[in-house]
Amino acid sequence: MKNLFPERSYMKTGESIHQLTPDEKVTRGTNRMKRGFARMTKGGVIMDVTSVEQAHIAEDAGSVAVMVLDKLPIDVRRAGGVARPASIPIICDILEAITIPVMAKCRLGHTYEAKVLQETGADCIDESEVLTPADELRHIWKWDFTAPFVCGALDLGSALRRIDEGAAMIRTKGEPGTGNVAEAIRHIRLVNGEINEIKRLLEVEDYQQLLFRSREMTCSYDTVLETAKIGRLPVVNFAAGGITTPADAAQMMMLSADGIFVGSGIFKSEDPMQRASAVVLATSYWDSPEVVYEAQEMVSEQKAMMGLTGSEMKLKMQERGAKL
Amino acid sequence: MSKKKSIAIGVLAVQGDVLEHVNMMNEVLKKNGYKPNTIWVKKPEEIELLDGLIIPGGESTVMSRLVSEMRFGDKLINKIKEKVKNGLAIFGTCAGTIMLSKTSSDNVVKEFSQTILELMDIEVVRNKYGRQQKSFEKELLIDVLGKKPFPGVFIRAPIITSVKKNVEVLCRNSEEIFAAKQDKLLAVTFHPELTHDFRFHEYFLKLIQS
Repeated sequence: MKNLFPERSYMKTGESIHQLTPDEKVTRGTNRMKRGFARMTKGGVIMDVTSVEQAHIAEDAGSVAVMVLDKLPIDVRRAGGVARPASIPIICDILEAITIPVMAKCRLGHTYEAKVLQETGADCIDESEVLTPADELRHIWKWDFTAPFVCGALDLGSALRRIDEGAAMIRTKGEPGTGNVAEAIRHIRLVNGEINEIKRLLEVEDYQQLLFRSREMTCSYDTVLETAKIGRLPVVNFAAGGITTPADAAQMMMLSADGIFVGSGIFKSEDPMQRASAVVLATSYWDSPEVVYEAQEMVSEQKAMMGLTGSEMKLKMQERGAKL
Repeated sequence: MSKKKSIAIGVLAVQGDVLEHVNMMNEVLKKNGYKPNTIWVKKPEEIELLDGLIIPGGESTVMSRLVSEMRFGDKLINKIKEKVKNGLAIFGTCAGTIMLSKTSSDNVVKEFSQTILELMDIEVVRNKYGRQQKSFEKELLIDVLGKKPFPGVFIRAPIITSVKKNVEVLCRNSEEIFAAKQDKLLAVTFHPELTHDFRFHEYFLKLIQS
């Protein structure tokens, strides 16, 4: 198998040498560091939080990381206007309050906003369509950062374009703030289907069609080839957008998600602690229906957030982001 | 080619980078003439047949919560402890080391403490180097693995601050201990499974055979 492109030199950027003790040279911010961080979150649940209090609940419930934002997605919908990142003091307070990784959202294409979030010491930055895009044509060049990035994707093309730009983790978008898992399922099935397609092309050594697909998806050929070779995305892939119940989480894990993002689903329900623990349990033990049953029993449908279906939605967050 | 007696190895799969360990351990088993049948374990009954257990990297708070407070809780912990008495070998990486330790504390939130399996006489401090942006790679010299340096991948890593006399230190510098062994228990603060260097997993296989 021939790689048409020489090794990407930009993958080397973002590395810098720091001195730990005088005799020990250490390297930080490498691709292995950033993708490795994402690997450690596999099988876990990452919860959206807006305050220290919610961050404590998320940690106590067994969340693998928290995502800090100013408003939960459903409130972003209600409020309208421009949605921007959380206040720096809130991010810093959460960083000091809990031990699990803290992620924060910045606007699409807003490089400087991401630099500011990196300065807070956050573990990971989410370039997120839940906030109002700042650059409608370009995403952030993520290789230059020491902090890993997670980015949204709704098909294979968008996932691989984000990986080309340096994303260390992908989340299939779904439709945030709706309590409706349908879009999340649609996106992950689409990604899985497209991966199977290029995997088959590689099996029959149809390199012409692989190159054609990479042009159609406007992403690099070598990322397509790598994906086809390993038969999955080259980085960790979480499911997101509308996941509300423990069974929703288990369903996404069954569809080969590496883990789960829960946004409004937890803190817009009337039983956040119970629901958070139940989603964690169902995500970990997704392949044991008797455990997911037990998790589902822990939550009450009467206390779940109200859902929104596609036709009732004014704003489709998933459609945000550059098409190239 | 006839296979030797099979060896059963499991990776604790409640959360973390399980697949990386399964893949690496299978490669090592194949290389040594065994059947590559490393399995994912989540339930007490799956521990029963194992010769070796790997506790992967991940979030130790999540793992400890899943194995101590939820459904299989005590049963899983007790099963592991009982099997260790009967010679089960355990390899903990990063979060796995925290799970194995008898004493642990956290560098960020000082009052935080968690002790789960309490099997090794080591004292561990979580997140000692800080959060993800302080994560690093550096080469380590480990005598038991030979002269070639081992690629140390430290991700939000803990450190082992002290060990009792019955614990053999495998790798350290002046202040930090990176790898330690006590009988058939092996603990490292970094991630061999994220490299292409099989030597630590081979060392674990030898530990199981011993």
